[in-house]
Amino acid sequence: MERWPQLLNPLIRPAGLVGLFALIVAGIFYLIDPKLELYIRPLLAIGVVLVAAFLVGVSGELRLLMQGRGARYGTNTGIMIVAFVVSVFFANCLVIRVNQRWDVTESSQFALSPQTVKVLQGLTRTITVTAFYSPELSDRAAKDLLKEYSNRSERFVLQPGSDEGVVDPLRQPALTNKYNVRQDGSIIFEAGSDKQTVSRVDEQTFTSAILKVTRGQQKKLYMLVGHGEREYNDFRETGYGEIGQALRDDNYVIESLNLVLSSTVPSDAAVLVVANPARTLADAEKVAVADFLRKGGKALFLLEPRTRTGLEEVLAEWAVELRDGIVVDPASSLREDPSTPVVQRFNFTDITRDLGLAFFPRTMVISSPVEFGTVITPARSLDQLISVEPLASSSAGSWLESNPDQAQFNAGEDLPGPLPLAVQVGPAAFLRGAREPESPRRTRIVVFGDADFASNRYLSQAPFNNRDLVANAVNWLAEEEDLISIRTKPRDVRRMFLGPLESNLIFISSTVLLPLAVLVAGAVVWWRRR
Amino acid sequence: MRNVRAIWRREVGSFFASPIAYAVATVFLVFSGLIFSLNITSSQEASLRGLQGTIGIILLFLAPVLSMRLLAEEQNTGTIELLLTAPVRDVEVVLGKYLASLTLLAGMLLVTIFYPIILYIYGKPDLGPILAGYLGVLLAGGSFLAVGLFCSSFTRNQIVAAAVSTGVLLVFWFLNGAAQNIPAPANTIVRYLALSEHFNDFNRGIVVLQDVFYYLSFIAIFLFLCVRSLETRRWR
Repeated sequence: MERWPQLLNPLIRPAGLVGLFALIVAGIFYLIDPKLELYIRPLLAIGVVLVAAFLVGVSGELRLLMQGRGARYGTNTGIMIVAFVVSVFFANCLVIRVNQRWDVTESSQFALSPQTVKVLQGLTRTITVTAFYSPELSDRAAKDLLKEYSNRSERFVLQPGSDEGVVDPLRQPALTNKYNVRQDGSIIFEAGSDKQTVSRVDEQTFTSAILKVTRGQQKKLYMLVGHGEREYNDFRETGYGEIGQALRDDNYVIESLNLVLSSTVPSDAAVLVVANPARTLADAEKVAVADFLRKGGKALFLLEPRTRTGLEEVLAEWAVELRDGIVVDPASSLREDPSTPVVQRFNFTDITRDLGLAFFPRTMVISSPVEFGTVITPARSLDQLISVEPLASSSAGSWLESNPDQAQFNAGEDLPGPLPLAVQVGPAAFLRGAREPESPRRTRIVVFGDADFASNRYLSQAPFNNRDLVANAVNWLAEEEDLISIRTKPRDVRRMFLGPLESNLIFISSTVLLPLAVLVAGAVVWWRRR
Repeated sequence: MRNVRAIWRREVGSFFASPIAYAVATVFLVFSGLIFSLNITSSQEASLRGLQGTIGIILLFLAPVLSMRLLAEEQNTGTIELLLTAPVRDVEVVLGKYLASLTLLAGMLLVTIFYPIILYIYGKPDLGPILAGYLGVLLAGGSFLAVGLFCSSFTRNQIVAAAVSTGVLLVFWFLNGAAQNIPAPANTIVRYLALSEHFNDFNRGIVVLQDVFYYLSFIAIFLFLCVRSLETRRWR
């Protein structure tokens, strides 16, 4: 064995090196993609063969080495290294367990509120979160917040295979379909079969979503039927199929309710939805609805002008007044149709907080006999303090047209704008967020003077947010009294204004002047040493 | 300690006398200046957030160049024998040289104070994330230099030292990407070992103890290996 290497001797060492190199490259290829067998196999083969030849070739020397003093020292060194690395490894494990982190931002951007931490630490189900962001939309805020959440709990899991929780909807059509994602920037919280979709990145939204999705039971929406109302599984133009689907994606269960057959609204109703009854309700039905509201029920009414429903008295009990007619708003309406007001500025409420634009094809006015914001006690619900607030109003140049044949403002007949087109009735403002010691029932009502804006045809026309308006209203109505309220921290973005002059200045000084200064310093030093 | 300081001083002097340090610093400043100015003029945001990720990669390639000379040259010129037989412990040699390269890195980073100054002139940046970001870069850069020193200890050829350290650093930096193909639970461990895995929180403004500890461990291990490597020369 020690003789034939005479010929190959000079080749043995490099052969071993090449063999080792081949093995390493094969390893790297495997790590990149185990399926690259075309490259991995031959490299592996070459590597093994060469290394084996090397070992054989130097077997003589190896034997000597093993016996020598060097071998003892070598093994000693090896053991020391292993011991050191292992101890460092364990030290790291301890530090990981301690899980200490310091937020050094000025506004403590990344510190989660104690309520959120409590929710996260109390999780009993695993929540999987997926954020759908196309490359054009900035996902940094979402990633940052998701990371803070996932750090606090092992049960808060970011979608496996995602980039810190973010997925490009175009590249993952299967996931996009699974979660029924319609909008860029949607974040889905999933626990078992319950899902919640949100689009705002803030602690309140995220933690609320977690609470909703781990509740284990879904909230029920009952839609009144029997009077030609819009239906949630109707996907024709006038139907409510789309909004129905959107609400189901938001973890609601929707059922029909026929108040002729069942004389009361079921007690498990989170929200009663009355969507454009085309005929008058029977007395018994009106009584059922009125009772439901008095007991702290929540209801959404989408009514159309020039339609008798008989709900006027029911709503009057809650200081809501319907003013029939068609609102004409030439100053702010859809292009060819002045009787489709476009609302650009909403009254600031929880429902309308981040809304942009909405439009209402043919709407009446929803108003109140008392001034908006006044705290009152409904006659039949003496333990409640409520106030009526407008949600959306038409512009100052609008009017309520009582005579549809004349599209002209007639003083005396027609009511001038600005006019409220939708209202919310709920606990008086000063009570919101506070826990009331008695009276757990707090009625909430939202009334829209138009039902078309939520129909399939008009629901999702960009750039209008009709859909968010309805979804927010339902969410506000269904909101549990004990869902937490976290004060949102505004995102801390430090803006600078750099005009072209400044930009150029900065560019030149950082990219040219600064390095040049260093180069010059080097030249000076070199010159001095000559 | 006296020995460490002596070696450190000598090595720093060497650095400032050699053209390599200035070349590396210039290249570093050109690239980071470019990224910095492009970043803030497009984002109009008074922060160094886009920058620190790129600085990490730039340093990954430059650090081996800085450290390649440290031990390889001594072996080449034969002065290594002098060093090893002098009444100086191997640990002191390693520490002295390492701290010298670290000083150089710190110097380069000091020059980049220029960027936050610009931010303060035109806006109101948040100081915390900036300082934390510098800490992160210093730790990561320190890790790169430790690898460079180690690789420089077992060859006479500076180029080989630089090439091997670059290779090792690339593997460690991108290890987390490779972890995707490894089944759990091994993949969490592999991910943890990746240099880039611990880098990004610093410039968000969060100092995570395990990130700091990771980099310190990384440096400790490679310096330890380096000392052992020198030791083996005695009986090689």
